[in-house]
Amino acid sequence: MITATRWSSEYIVAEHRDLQASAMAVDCTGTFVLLAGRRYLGLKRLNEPTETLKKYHRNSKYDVSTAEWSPHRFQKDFCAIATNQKVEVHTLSESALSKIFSLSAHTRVISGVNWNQFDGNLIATCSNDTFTYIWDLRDTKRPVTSITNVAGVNEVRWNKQSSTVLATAHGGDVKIWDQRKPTAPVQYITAHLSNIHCLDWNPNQENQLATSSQDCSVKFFDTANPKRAETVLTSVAPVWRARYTPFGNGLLMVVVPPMKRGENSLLLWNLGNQTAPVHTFVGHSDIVLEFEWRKQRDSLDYQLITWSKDQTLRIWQIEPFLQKLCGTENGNEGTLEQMSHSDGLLPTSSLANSADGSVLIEGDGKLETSEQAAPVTIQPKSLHQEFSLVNTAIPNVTFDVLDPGKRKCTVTAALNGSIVVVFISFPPGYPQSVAPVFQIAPTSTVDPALKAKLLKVLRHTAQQRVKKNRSCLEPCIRQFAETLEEALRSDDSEQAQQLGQLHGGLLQHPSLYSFRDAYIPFPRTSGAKFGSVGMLVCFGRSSISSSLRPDRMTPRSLSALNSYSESTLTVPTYYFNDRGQARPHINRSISKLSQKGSKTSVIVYDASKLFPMNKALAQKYTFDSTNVGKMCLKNSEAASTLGRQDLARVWSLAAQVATEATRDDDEDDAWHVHPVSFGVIRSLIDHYISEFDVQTAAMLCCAFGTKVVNPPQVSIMQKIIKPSDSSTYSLRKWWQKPGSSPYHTVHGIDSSAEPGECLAPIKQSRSHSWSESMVEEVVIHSHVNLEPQKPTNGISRVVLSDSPEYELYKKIYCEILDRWHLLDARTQVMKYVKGEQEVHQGLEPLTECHSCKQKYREPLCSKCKTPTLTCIICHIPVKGSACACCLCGHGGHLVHIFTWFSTNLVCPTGCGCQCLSEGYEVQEF
Amino acid sequence: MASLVCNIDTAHEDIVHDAEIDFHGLQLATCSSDNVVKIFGIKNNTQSHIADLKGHYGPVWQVSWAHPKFGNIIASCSYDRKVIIWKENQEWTKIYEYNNHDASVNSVKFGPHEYGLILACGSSDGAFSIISHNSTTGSWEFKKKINAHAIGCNALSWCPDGRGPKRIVTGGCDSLVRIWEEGPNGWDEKAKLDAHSDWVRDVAWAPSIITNHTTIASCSQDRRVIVWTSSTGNNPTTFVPLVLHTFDDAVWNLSWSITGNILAVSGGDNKVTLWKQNSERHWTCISDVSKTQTHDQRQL
Repeated sequence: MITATRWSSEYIVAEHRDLQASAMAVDCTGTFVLLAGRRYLGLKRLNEPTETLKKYHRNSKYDVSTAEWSPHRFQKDFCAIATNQKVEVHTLSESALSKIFSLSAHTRVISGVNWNQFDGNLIATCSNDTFTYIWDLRDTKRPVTSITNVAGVNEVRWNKQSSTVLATAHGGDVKIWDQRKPTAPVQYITAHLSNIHCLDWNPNQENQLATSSQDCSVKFFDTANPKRAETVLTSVAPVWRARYTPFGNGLLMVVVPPMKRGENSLLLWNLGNQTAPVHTFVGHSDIVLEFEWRKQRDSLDYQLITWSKDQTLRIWQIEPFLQKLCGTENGNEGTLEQMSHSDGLLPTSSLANSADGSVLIEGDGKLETSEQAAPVTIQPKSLHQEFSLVNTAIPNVTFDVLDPGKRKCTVTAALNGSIVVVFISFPPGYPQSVAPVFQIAPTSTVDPALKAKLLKVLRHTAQQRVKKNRSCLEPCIRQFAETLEEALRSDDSEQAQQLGQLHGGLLQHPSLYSFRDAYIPFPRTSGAKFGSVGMLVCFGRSSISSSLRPDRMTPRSLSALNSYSESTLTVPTYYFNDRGQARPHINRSISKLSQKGSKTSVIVYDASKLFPMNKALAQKYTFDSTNVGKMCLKNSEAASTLGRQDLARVWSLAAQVATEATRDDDEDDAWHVHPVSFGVIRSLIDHYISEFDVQTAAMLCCAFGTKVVNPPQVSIMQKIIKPSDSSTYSLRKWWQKPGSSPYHTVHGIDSSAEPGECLAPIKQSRSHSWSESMVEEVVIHSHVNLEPQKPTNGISRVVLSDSPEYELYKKIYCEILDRWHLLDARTQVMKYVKGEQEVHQGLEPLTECHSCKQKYREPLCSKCKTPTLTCIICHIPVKGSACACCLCGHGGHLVHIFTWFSTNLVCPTGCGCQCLSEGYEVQEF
Repeated sequence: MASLVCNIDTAHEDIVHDAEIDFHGLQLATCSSDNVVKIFGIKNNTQSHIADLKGHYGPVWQVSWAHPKFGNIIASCSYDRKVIIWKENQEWTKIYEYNNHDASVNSVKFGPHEYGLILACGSSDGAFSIISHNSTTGSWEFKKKINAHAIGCNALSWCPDGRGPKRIVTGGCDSLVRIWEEGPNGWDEKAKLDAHSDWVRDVAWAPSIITNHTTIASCSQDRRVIVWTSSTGNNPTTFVPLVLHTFDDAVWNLSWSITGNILAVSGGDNKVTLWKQNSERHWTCISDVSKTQTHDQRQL
């Protein structure tokens, strides 16, 4: 390392050639300077310039794009270093740097890092990946706020006055955001024609933003009104950095001389006088990469620290005389400026001009309060003076004629293609209670209504001002411009809407909305899904493409496809792209081949062997609620024929538990009351559940569970038409439903049938006389009684209690059987599932037995043992699928009724009921 | 362990993004970047092409089958911001199109059949929608929950238990997994699961055979699969995360077996791994590497 230090009155130079540092940062106390490069982090004390630099090895693949120390004294040791896609937060303790956090979320190189000026925990980072992230050091896993954008971000800066406002630069555009509303920018400024390199907020004024750009200019914006740059500083070369000075009203600018020719100078400007820079710092032999300011504690001097590509660190003394050049001496100027802004009438420049003229201090007693202490309003003395003081920089407005001699003025406003010309003449008495006369030229291209409105605004504003004997030209023109803009903007938004619709149509084309792809996840190219019971469906890329990118991580978002090439890329070409860069033609042909090939195949595996459930077993299992022991033995045989000796043993054990213990046992107590026998079944079920064998567990639950049996007799339901719930199925839909029948002739209920799903015919009184054996009302959903198998009738020794777990196992097994299409077995299991005891809402069908005239809620008369419904076509009692009219109650075999009504509309009995149409209405009801 | 049933050449012109088998295991639906959804019959180990469903104007990301009690119905979601519901009445036709999202719809799933014909979809505009069919009026109704996830919602999954209130789990670009429950005033966030450090790519709510026990799996661009468990009964709000494994590449697909003890995981490395929970509730990888190899070979 060569450290050449030489003192002069002006600066210190230190050369650090081996550092290869690409970023420099000075901490908030001005004690340390950090020089960060690919291989080293260098740290130097600025107070002791003779001290050698401390080096910390980094040896990273990536350069440091930018670095910044925390601006807060309480965490002055924190430094954020952006390298590639990560920001590392280092802390300096006992002169050693150590990494404490790593903030990673960006997918491209980070281009900007900035600490919040108010909250030391917040850091904003931006990258070309279009995201701006705000991080909170208290939770560094992920950004607290994500600001998304269309274009990549070059730079991010927090406002120095407001803790939530930040500015981002996107190419030549600037967006102002409020951290609390990250979805949309507060302002969008089309600032420059080429890339913006640097953003800086005015440290004293909240809304002042300076942007420096490749297009050789620095622009100053009022972010509250950013239609046009307030002022523009032009340079001979692209501006790399431009920041406000910490003293006075100055700006320091770094320019990049084109073709490396010319001076690598730093230009200091006084913003009050923008004709020429007030000072030039010459010395660096290559581009100045970064500069920072520091103030020494016991000195009036500021120091400027610069780091250049020539690998020298220079420290420049900024003595008070230089600071004065930037306007520090005019300490009151800033005050006046702010006051005039709060007044909103007289801009800075007019004040500077008015310095030579006399200043009227209005003494009407009305104190206009502003943030500053001195409530002073300045009034021009004469029309001449007023004209000279008018700030002509009103957006969209040009002053064509300002003739104080003829007391005339012409103003042209041009906005969105509309032009309004206003002639203003000032009568002699003006502004003492005499308002000027306004006229709008007939050549103006706005409609008469708007003309009238504009005139009214002008006159009103003028009256308000001259009443107080104040000059009124500028306020009038500002009001006028605002009104015009407002009126035309509303037209604008309509146009924008139309445009939006147009775009909406265009957006059907995918390539046009690919800019949104940054938020769309990268498409899945492989996957596996379980289906039905034990099936696994897999799909994926061919192994050619999977092997092409072995080292690379799959990108996060779909936009990765676009960023590799201009043309729209498809997913397969993405995977070929590694080689394709060099040989695009070959790449394309490979991709086509692979597209044609079996790349798009999907493979279905039978993974049922992974599961303990077995379909063959489910088919062989039997149910017998009257003899549990026999059932268990049968199932044991079934299991052994399928080679499941383990289950065969379990079932034989279960059979032993179930069968009556023989009295010749030595035991005094019967086996069935022995606590072990009960525990055996319980622990068997628990064991199989822990093995996820729902089948065996559910079968045991059924065998030792309680079978749901019919209620003996429930009170007859009268014709009920309750307000039917929303899920009433129409008759037609209902019998088309696969796998279920309208009547459940099986005893017990099918809990899979939702309440209201079963349609119910209701009886109409007139049908009584027509048929003896007609359906009156049929109850399908009935309250069920649970009849536990009593140990005394010699069926089972062990009965499981009703437990929600056991119900769940049975239901899951039912679903599995359903998926296997084993509907008989499913029905058998369903008999053991306790139905939900909810009250059936909707139509309740009742039947009346034609022989005993009893009314039943189920389709079988318990006394006569005959089905209650007799088919009106074939006059045979109906077993199985049936249907009936809701209105007349006539019905019969589903097939018969269906055939009849395929050609007829009226009831086959001749009762006159238009079953199809009328019945349908009732259902609708 | 697993035997091949069939290898279907879908003849899709571009990469396949999703494939799902129906309830009975008789039909397969696939979707692709070529904008088409295809239906295949896979009965008795033979395959037959049943239909090509064309209606999307962008890559179709996901398909989902409805419960067969509603008929043969599938839903598909696409980059073109639409969700289309298709039904087989003699032939497959579009019965409803939902285009109330402002960005690509990334995920679509039918809910448990107990709630009726209902589906949820999540979009890159940050919102998810619940679309339901009102069987009384025959009309479709929807509820949209905006700002469910900052930047975008990438995946969602229904709570498979069809008895309690409707619940779904979503995963998004804010690296969070969120659990939502339908209340009287719409969908409310019940829990926010925070452990991933990058975009969440898929979430899957496991079917549970143990009452009062909830398991959810999530996978992310951060290459991790996390299994979240809660034993706090019917109203799970606190979850314990367990990192199942850190993979070599981003993980983007999860699927639970019907009993909730085997999880299929796949990601950018083009491999499928199966993870099984043993009786001590420990997770082990049970998939044999040869299987994925044959899988690839067959695709060549």
